[in-house]
Amino acid sequence: MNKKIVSVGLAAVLAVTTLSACGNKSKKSGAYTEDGRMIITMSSNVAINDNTPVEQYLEEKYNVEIKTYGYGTSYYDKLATMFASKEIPDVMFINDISNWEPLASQGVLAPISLDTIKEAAPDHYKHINEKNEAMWELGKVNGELYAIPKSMGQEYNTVTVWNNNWLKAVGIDKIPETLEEFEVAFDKIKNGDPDGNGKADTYPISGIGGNYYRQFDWLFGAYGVMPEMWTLDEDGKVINGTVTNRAKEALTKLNEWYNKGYINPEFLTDDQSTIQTRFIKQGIATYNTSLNNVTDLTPSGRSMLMAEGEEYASRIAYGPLPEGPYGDRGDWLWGPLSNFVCFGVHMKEDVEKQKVILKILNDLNYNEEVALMAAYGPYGEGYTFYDEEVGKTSGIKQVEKYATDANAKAELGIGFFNLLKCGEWADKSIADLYQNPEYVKEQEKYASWNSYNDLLMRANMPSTLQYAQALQQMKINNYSSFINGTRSLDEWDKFVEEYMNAGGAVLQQEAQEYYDRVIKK
Amino acid sequence: MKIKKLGSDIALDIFCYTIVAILCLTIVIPFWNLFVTSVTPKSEMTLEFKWFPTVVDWGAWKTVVTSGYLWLCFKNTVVRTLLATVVSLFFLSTFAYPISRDEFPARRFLTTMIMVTMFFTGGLIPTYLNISELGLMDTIWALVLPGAMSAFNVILLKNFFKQLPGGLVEAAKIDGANDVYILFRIVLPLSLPILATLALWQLVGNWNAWFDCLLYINDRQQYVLQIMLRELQETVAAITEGGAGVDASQAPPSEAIIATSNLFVILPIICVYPFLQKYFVKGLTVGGIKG
Amino acid sequence: MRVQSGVHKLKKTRWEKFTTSCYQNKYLYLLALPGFIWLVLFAYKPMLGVLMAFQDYNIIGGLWDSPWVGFKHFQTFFSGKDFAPIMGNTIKISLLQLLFGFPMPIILAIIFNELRTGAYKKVTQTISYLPHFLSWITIAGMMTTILSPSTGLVNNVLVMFGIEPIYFLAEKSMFVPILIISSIWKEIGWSSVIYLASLAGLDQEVGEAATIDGCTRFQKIIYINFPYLMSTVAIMLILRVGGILNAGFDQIFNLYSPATYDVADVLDTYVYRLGISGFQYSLSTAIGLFKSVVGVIMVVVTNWLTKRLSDGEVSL
Repeated sequence: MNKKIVSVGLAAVLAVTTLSACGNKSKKSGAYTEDGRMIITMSSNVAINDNTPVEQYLEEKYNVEIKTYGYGTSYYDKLATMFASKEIPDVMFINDISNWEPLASQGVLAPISLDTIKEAAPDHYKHINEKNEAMWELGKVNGELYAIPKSMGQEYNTVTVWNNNWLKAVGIDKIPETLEEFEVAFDKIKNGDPDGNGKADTYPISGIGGNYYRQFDWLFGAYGVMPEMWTLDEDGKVINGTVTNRAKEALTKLNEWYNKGYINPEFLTDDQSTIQTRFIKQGIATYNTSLNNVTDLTPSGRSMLMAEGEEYASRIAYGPLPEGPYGDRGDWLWGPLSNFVCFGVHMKEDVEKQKVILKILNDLNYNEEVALMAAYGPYGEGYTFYDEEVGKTSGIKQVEKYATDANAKAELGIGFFNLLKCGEWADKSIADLYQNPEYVKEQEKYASWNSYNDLLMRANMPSTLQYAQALQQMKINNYSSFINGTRSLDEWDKFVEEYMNAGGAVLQQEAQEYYDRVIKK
Repeated sequence: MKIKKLGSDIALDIFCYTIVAILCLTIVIPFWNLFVTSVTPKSEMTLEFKWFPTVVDWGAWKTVVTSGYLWLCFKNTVVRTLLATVVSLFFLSTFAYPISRDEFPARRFLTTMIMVTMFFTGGLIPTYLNISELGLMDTIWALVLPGAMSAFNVILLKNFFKQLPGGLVEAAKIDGANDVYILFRIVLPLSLPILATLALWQLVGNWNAWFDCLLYINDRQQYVLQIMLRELQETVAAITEGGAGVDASQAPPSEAIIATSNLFVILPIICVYPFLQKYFVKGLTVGGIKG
Repeated sequence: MRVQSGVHKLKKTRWEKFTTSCYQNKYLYLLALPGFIWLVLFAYKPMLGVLMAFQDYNIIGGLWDSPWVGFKHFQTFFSGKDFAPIMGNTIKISLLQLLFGFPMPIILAIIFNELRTGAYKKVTQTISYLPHFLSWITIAGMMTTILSPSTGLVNNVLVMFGIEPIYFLAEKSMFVPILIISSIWKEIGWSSVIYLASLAGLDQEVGEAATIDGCTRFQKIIYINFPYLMSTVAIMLILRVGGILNAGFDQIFNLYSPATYDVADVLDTYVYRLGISGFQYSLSTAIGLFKSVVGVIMVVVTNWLTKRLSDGEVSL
């Protein structure tokens, strides 16, 4: 075992040194096919077969030979074992900092120069700089860039969906928009018997009690704060939203609502799908969801509405998230940072290969034809349009099996090359070509209402791994207790102290340093 | 006196049959509900417990059963399960027999050696490197051999061997039989109940295993059923959450898919049990001793 | 000289004894050989990985070039916040599971053994082990449905009898009983298989003789079946106590809610919270090692106790 590892290790070292010695132009054994095409190995958390149509398309277009490692489940376990046996792919999809940072410090990843990115992936370079230059900082360890940040082109637009029949039944004609209007509606729904069963037993809302970020995020948003996100306090100091006074105000309101019977006590065990079912089956009056799910302007919205039947479509209405006492509004947004692409350590000196990969990355995000191919496959085989006469703007209709069957996807090769993009589209200008213009407008209207992004763009602090999980659990438990009154809000200061002692203070200190160093300038 | 005795026996019967009936009821009801969920379309999903489906929709079953890939994986799983069970029974019985013999000098050493493995394992990476060094990657042996023995099973088997009447082995030895003959011709036929139990455990363990396949097999054509079903559930769940551009209504509800795959995986195992069950019937050893 | 030759002679005798013994037991050695090779190749060779617990394991360096850090990871683990109450919860849940969960399959096996062979027995036995195949995430989903205070089956029944509905999954005092009952439900049938197999080995003539002697069937269970099962029971118990620190991660993780967190937080959920992601193998190996050592101690002690109590009859 010993010998084998040492020899493999030596081989790897040798390979790296020869690579660097050879320079850029000469052909290296193993890195090229016999007919001289560059071999690129890629890994991602999406399953894929060998030699899929999409892979062949990319190979032909860029004159390369692509080798894919696609592992759906337990991707990181598989990666770890590959690394341990010194098989490191050229380029890897890595979806968060806590995964790639240890790899960078353990020497698995290659540093990348910004100049190379600027030259080989100009559109991506521009895109990130336009979003926020500080995003590059998220991919750095000790000042060197190890992970290329990727940014989502479009955000998730959350709306409040109401049971409009109930609103009408209790005499409300205008969809509530402010917190005050929400409260009036809640009161009437709770006490006005909108379902006509003769009892004042209707809960206006439920919540997700066990989720650290979705726990009534829309109400905290109305109070101008987002727990678990870094923000600035009145004195301009970095603070976690969880322990701010605004959060306490929001919790006071929630506790008041709970006591008035506005919140279903089962919020403790509810999740997004239970809440949705409650709403659809007329158990609660309102919940939050993506605009895409409730509008008939998109194909998916239309079919969603259709699946629930006409009666459902006719009784719902959507409006904005509530505006709070200080004029704030919004819910949790993951922010511009989506995830990362990293290069294997052996790529360090092979700038030529880096450039080829970066070129492909760039096209996958910003070239309409390539992006479409990687996401949906060839036209006709993988997708058509909903309305061929209208064309693109009627929306992309995937051939059914490719939408639902992981293996069919793997056979066609779609989804895998997402490793170089984010979500369906990186570039909103391409995405908008495939949507109803009215929907694009509607989206922008709601997008402007959502305003909660992490101040530090979810950057990891040195001690995040050590404390974050415990702090999140602490937040979930205490917030739930504050809401249903098992812990009195008089103990708020004590909770803040506990939170700070459990690592909150350490993270705050580190966040402040990061803010001063990276964001503030 | 006799009537009283009879009365107590009847009471015992009533007690036993009722307890079993109640237990089965608590199991059948949730499973029935699982089935109801598997044939419920999205618009009919509720939070209430459903006794009967309001609308029957076989969409989830179709999604699961009509995939050709499913049956390939099914075949892979069957082959792997059967091979692993046979290999495992061989290793277990040949190892448990010697350490059950008091005259075997190495028995303490070997027993300790196997007990240690119950607690100390190398972990993910060393195990992976080991399989890779042994050249087992991408072969069925990577799935069959590592699980062939376990301390738990060896100890149980050894314990069972020890319980067998000692005179049998002695008699055979006097007749000039060697230990290999004794094990395969006398001891194992007497141990059918425990062998059936171990076989059942191995069958089920291998049937449910997927992580080893994911680690050691790179070829998707060699994947086992459980990986395929996990992938299916993950895709459907992702669609239900509403990815942009994906048509959510095309997929059956994820609850139905999960219910269906749960039931689908159990079906073959249900069919196997009755065959093994006959070995749990009383009186096998009696026949053995007499014969 | 004489002494030396004496020693020499003694050595030779020992060696001779050894070779004779080897020769006499050659078939037993032959039989043990495949298992022995398996142990070396598949169990002991990768076991070196345990050393990671004392290193800052580095994927590129591997086991040979990673830096040694002694007990650093054990310290991180033990000095974590709430370590003590978590150990308390773990041992409490685990012991209660053992106390209530362990005897159930034995009782069920004895009951099954009393059923007459036939369709009823076959069908009920098959049904009894079905829950074993469900994952905890599925069971948790079912339980949330069945135990819901507003729409759940159990509470509907309670309301029928005029009892206030109970929010079972958010009730601290209910949490441990729910854990125990649900794991009994899941495993009772499956775990009874081993006892059924053992009962199948019981000599029927003993039972027949007992009947002639005027024993009722209940007396037979108490005086014949039960004592007969004891050695299997003891072995199962010894093997089971080794997992005393495994309170069942999947079950707890899928069933706890913010309201029951205090009583539900066990070693495994704590480890999960330590954030062992991102390729940190040393810490998780260290924790595994700690659990193993506790397991070994428990097994050795229980084994010794059983041996004493059974006059050397039962032990591993």
